[in-house]
Amino acid sequence: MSSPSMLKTEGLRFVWPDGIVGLDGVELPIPAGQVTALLGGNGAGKSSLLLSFNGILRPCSGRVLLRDQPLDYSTRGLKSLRQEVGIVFQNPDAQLFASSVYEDISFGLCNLGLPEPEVRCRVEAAMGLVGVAELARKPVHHLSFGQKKRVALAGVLAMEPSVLLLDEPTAGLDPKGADGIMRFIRELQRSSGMTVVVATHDIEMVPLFCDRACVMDRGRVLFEGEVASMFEHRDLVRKAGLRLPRIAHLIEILATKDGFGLHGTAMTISGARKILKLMKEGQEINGT
Amino acid sequence: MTLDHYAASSRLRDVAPGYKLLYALPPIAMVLWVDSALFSLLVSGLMSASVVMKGGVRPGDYLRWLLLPAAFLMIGTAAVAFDISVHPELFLFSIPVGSAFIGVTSAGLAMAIHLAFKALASVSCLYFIAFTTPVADLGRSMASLGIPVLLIEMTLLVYRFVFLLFETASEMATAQRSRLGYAGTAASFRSLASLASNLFFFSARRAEEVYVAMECRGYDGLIRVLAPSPRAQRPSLAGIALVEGALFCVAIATHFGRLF
Repeated sequence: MSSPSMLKTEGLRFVWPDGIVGLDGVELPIPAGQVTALLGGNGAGKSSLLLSFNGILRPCSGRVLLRDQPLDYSTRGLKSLRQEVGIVFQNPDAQLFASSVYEDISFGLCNLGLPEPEVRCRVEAAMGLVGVAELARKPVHHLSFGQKKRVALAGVLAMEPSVLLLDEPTAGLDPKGADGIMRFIRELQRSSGMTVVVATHDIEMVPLFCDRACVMDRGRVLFEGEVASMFEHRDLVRKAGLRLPRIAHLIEILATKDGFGLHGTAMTISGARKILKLMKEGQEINGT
Repeated sequence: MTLDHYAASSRLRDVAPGYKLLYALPPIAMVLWVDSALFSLLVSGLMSASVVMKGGVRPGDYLRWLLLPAAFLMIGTAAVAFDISVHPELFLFSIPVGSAFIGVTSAGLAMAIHLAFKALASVSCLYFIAFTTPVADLGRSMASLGIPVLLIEMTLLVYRFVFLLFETASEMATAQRSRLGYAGTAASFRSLASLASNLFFFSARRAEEVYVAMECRGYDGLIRVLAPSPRAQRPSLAGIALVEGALFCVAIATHFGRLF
């Protein structure tokens, strides 16, 4: 993949004030215009990495580069960084603070110092985009969890960032809601060319919605590459306390334990159908 | 449904808050000044009718909410009605306590009734505001009265997070109750103490999280937000003035004894 890195870390190390090592020499390129999944168990360092990308956490050593420029931690630098790199937190209750949906979405835009008509225009566009337009005047505490997540997303999207960081976007949502939000992000990424980083342990959605995957464990990167190559590195995935998507696991068992002669691997239902069809065709040719 | 829900879904929600205050606050002053049970009843009827017919609150719901302060009202005014004296003939009815009598005099009863109706009328005026105006709108309109922005910001933040705190507290209490945390007095005290201290840590952590999230969107010490587009309706001032004027005339007539 030859696309240039939007974000990049070099020997990034971060230690929390209580001595716990959050990030331990992370070398990671985030290619522009792709969806990268940050995978890892609890405490693997996913959230610390996201907060480092956004300049909230300052590395103890190493550095973070945005478009090949090291991050500028001055007040002015942080302001432009946070406009360009937006982050949506896992818990929307920690993000939404204003008394109504509309006000909350306008917060980031007002901080950018945009003129009022521009702010109103963008707030309305963002609400329409995530489908919360009819909630505009509702107090935040009257919303359901799924609605809160959408509003939190709208508040960040309104700032029109070129990098969108999502911390567990599907956590706490029902299957339909989780699917809906990931599909939305995928489509948005395709239409706007945004760079997206998703920290998650929802492994099933990775082959469906992500281009690349990065597996982390105890502050280190174990594997980084195309989602499809996760299958070859399944030992690393398992070492990080994760597992393969169920379909990939099934294909693995069929091929290694049950002696099915499968051509290739698959991680999604459509992928599995494809290689099973190939097998069936092969049998038919052999049979006749 | 909380009062907050009624306010958010009221048909009068979009009326600019200033007009609603102008409609509901002067009658309180009149009620206190006139001091007549019938006038209080008139005001209370007017406000209740406004909430139910204009605001779109179901009469049954409204009455149930009105019962809430009624309990306090009963207890508070009952204390006024009762008196103590050594002459039992002063009382409408009385019970002897030692050499004295405790009972209700006709003057005490009249005063209690007056007081109850005055309180009822004031409550229904405030209910009119509470049932039609969300706290956020009220907060914003306070700014135009010259109340410091910092104070309003804090009010609105407290308003937002008090619900979260309440939700968390009730979840914790449920979890404690499910493990018999409130079976017996000693256990109740212990559970309540740990609930309170946990809630404190929860708040501190949440404050930290909110601060970080706000920083991510460029917070620099001043909360700048834009209120939803000002589609606030402006009812005719003349209409409000007419109602208030009529009410005031009745108030004067009542006060000087021509009416009621």
